[in-house]
Amino acid sequence: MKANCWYGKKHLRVEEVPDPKILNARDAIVRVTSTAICGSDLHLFNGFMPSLEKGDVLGHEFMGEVVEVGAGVKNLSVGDRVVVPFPIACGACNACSRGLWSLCENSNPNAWMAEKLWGHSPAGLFGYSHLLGGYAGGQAEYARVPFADVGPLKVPEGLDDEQVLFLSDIFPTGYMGAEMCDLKGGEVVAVWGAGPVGQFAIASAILLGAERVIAIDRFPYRLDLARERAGATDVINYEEVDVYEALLEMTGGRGPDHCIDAVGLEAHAPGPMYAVDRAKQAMMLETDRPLALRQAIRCCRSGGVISVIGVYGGLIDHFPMGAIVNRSLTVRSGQCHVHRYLKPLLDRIQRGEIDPSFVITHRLPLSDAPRAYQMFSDKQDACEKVVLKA
Amino acid sequence: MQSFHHPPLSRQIGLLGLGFGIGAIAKLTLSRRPGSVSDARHVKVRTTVTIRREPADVYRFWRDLRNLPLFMRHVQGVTESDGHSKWHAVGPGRTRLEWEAEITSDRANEQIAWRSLDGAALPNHGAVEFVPAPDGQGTEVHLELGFEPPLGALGAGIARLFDQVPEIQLKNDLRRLKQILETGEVVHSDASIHRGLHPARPVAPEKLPLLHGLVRA
Repeated sequence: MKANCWYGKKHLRVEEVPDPKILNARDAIVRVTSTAICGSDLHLFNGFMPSLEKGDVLGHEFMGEVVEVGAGVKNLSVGDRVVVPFPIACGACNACSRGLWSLCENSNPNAWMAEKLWGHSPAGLFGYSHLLGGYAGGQAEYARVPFADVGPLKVPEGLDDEQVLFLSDIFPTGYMGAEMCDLKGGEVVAVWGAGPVGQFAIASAILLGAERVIAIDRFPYRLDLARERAGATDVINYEEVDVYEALLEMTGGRGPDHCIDAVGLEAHAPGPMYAVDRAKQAMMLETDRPLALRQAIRCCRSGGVISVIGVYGGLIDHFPMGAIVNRSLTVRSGQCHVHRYLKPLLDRIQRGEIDPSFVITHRLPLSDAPRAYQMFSDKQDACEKVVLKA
Repeated sequence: MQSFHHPPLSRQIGLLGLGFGIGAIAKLTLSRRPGSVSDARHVKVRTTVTIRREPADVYRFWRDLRNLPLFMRHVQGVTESDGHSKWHAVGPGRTRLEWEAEITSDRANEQIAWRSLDGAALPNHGAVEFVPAPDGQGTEVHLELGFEPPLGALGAGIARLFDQVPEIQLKNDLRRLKQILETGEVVHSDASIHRGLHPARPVAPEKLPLLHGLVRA
């Protein structure tokens, strides 16, 4: 089969690899019909995630048709159309039983590596480093899906791929970002980053009752999409105005009630701190650039929630702990517990409350994956979201 | 029952060194090694894991010593008869080790202890305890192994092996036990089925290593 393989920083190749086989009784093999490039895939592309090996198959947003099931899979049949959640979860451990699916205690065969880095290991993920399991990803013609009796969501008749593909990651991830703000109705929420996850965080905050949602980015096409399609009530281009001043001006000096960081470890910002963080990253004094996170903490109304759904991998510097303690801020975060949200969000799609396909700007064949990554990374051609067709 | 093997530890640690100072984090952690005590002649390793099963289930699975090679990667086979067990294992440098052992303590659902009989090339003993976890979360499995490497080259090799990262090996063993008891089998990824580093991608069927069969415990 064809698969999109990692060969180093900014070096991908679509090449022929053997078809996947059932390795565990609870596996299924899925013929991938649609797969997408995630913003977090760019952290792999740009070399910010450790423990990749040359030849790794990337991709964790995918869906397709079941073509084979292991002896332990009773709920799926050959021919079923499924969306696959990006975390791999066994459904039986303590974390899974508490609904913390991205913290599955059994799905990372390389848990010891993650323990060295983070103290404990989270779940294994598709196509996202050896530290997170060493699983082949879904940017391929076929994918092996472990615990297929637990994760995949059967797609009802009448929904096309593009309406449900993003249940695999970015819609639930954005939704969880808004949910962690504990919205009661009437709040002002600010969202850093108007990439695909940010768009879904904005749309979800509106769905969950926020009265105003302010999108922050530097690309006018992304801010336009946020306002016109995701439902942002206000936008801020951080290259044109001072974000802190603008947010205080918009909120009568209070600051946003809650702040969502949908940027993560490769943040940009005008001003000297950006250069300082870039330099520290280059010198390995810190691994992640927390510019959006620092700003979100500074801007957030006292007593508010900082909801972090952008990806961080390691260490950050100059973390404003003083603001958190003295202003009673709450930091919440997590890789999305996708399994928890599949059904409720599918229901919202079926009721017509949201059509997640609004973020798609490019549809390309799988063979164009390397070019598509570069385009997405460079924000060329107003690229917001790329769907690859296998 | 065939088992398959870890990549050499030095390469595993090397893997950690790939990105931004993680190697340093690993070294810092490894240099402390609170779980093991070793002097020239005696190596002790301890580790623990919590399994979401009743102590009786975990005890029963462990007490059938034939199950041990399913999750202990260096143990290739155990047979038991007349109160004595015979162990086949792979030692440093892929040397084959065999010894006989006896159970020295067997408290149902609570504890099992054993030690090798006289004449073992690598005298060793072990004990595993099954302790109910708080709030009905299952069973804490506490495992301790002790080795008395013989003098000479083989002994020095064994001591070196255990001077590296014994807790990681032992913890990985217990993690596989947890996988079997919670999910039914050892969990495999495209990379983890191979010895040594391997890209996360499928391989041709003829290159697929022999994997454990389904175990319903």
